[in-house]
Amino acid sequence: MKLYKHSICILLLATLAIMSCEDKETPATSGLVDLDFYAVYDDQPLVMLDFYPYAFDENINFGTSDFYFSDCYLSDNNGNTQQLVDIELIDFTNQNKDLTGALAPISVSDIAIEPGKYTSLTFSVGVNEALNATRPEEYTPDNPLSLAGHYWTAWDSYIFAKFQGQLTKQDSADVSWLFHTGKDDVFRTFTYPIDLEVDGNESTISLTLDHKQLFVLESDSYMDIRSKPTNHNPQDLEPLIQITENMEHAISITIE
Amino acid sequence: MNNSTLYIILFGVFILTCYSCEEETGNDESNDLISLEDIEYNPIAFEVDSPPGYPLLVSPDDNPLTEDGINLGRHLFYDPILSVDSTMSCASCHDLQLSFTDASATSIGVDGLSGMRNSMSLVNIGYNYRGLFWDGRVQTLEEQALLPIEDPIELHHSWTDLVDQLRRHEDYPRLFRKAFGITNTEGITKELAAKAIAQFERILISGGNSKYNKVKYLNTDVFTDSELHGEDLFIDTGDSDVIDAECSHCHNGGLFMGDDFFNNGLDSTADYTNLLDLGRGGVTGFDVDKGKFKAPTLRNITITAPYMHDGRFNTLDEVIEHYNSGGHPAPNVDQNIKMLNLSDYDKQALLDFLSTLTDTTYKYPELVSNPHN
Repeated sequence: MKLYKHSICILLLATLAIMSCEDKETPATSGLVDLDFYAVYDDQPLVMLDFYPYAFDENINFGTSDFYFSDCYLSDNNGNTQQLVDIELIDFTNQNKDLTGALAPISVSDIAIEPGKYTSLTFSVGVNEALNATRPEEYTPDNPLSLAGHYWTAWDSYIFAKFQGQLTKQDSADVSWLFHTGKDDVFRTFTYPIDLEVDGNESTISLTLDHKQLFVLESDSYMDIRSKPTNHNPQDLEPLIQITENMEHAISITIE
Repeated sequence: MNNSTLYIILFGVFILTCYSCEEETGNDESNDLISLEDIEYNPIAFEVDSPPGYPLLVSPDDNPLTEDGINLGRHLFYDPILSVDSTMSCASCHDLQLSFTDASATSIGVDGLSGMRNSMSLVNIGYNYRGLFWDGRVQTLEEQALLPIEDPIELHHSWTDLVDQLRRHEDYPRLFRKAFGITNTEGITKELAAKAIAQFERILISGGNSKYNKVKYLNTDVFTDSELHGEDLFIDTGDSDVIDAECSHCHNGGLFMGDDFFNNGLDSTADYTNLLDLGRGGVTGFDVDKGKFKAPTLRNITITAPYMHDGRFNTLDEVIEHYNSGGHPAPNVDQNIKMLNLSDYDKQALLDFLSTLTDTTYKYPELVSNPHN
């Protein structure tokens, strides 16, 4: 009997030693939330450089698609909030290089939150005013705000989103198109109703961006990209605001 | 099985479990051990004072900058012992006088073989956190420094032999001891050699005395009209009267360098099969990356000719003319590559602006030259 007691003690110690190797600690009562981001074009997975039918008998592709996703939190009916994300760059350019990549999500994983019944999800597209007053050189390289390529010196602003690609049309020359959004006036915050119960379980919130919907106009028509294919102009923010505001409806949310 | 045997086995399981938490270290090379413990080991942290506008200089946690680490790296960097026949060092292709390039389209290795790519400038390389080499195949200077030693078209040595030489060397055991506190010569490893070289490379900082910095940060100089116009062309201030040359989409920040890889229209291709060098695509295997290369820093660009990954352009005039032409078509050519219709005045202005990025001095001049001279 004595032997067995000691054996159990030693095995317990060994188990503790194994557990001490892991660095992630999760409060026992917390739930875990994953945020998964997908890019599609009209319900098809968006693959970089693949062409998809657009309006005006055009075909369109994307060579670049990314945006800053910031200040994301869940709220319950009592006004309690749980922050999920401070700021991340959601980079479909490097994720959706082929169909396999396009079918896999960009994940912000294992966010520990308090149990509760959450009824809304809020997030912003872009960099809020306080952070937008900072510059990339103020951040360590592991911070998404350290990316000099996402800062436009002439604007004194981060580039909130980059969408660029090509248009092709029969009997017309191919056209490169590019929209880079930025400046405080373009920053937008969206809130979506959700039904998420967290009770020590794991949940996945999927956010799917339909890239065709980026260019929709109020009348359900689409922007004539060919007529003005490039905009990163702080004196002409209207198309950039349109694209940013379109992201509210272009992003659909599902919960598992 | 008696009780004692079972205790021993269980205790052994416990000990093994504890050890399984630790990373593997050390090497399996044997050598004549020479103790180094009589040599003082007193590491002094080296604090870098970066020029204004530059990113933060961050070293890996396991390789902080120290005075002796940098000194060891400096000795190794300039020492031909790194090559198989002791004729070439890192400095052979990265010459201090040429902003750590070699003025060749593609570099010639120790066996007289030519590589496919142009020697990249190492100036300010410590601030490059998003892929080294033209194709971004490694992420840290520590990884990078391991590769040229054994590359057949570069130094073509073997690390096993080189480490053996370093262990038997008159000076290096002492330098390794002072840099890393090793207790005996067996502590000299290729990993420590690479760490030292990486430390040295991190302090190859230049640009603080450039005209650009004097104008933008020190307020001790002003741009000429041509330089000012060139800046407007380069970064696009939104002035509708000035052509947007779209340069800063790829060359941005205080280093005028890219975070990413781009196809800048150097070669015409429909399906990438005719490309001689796949660049980033050769690393990732994705079609969308084929023909893409790192957008290098433009700091000191006037003294790092020839240009592009294969050194195809001998002058900046040729480079500007390439971009002015709109380049060659490819499925993944960057959307900012387009015909610009620059005037001769515009081209000269761009050249004048780029010249303001030149600085022939170094932040730490006393630490960057060849210590073997």
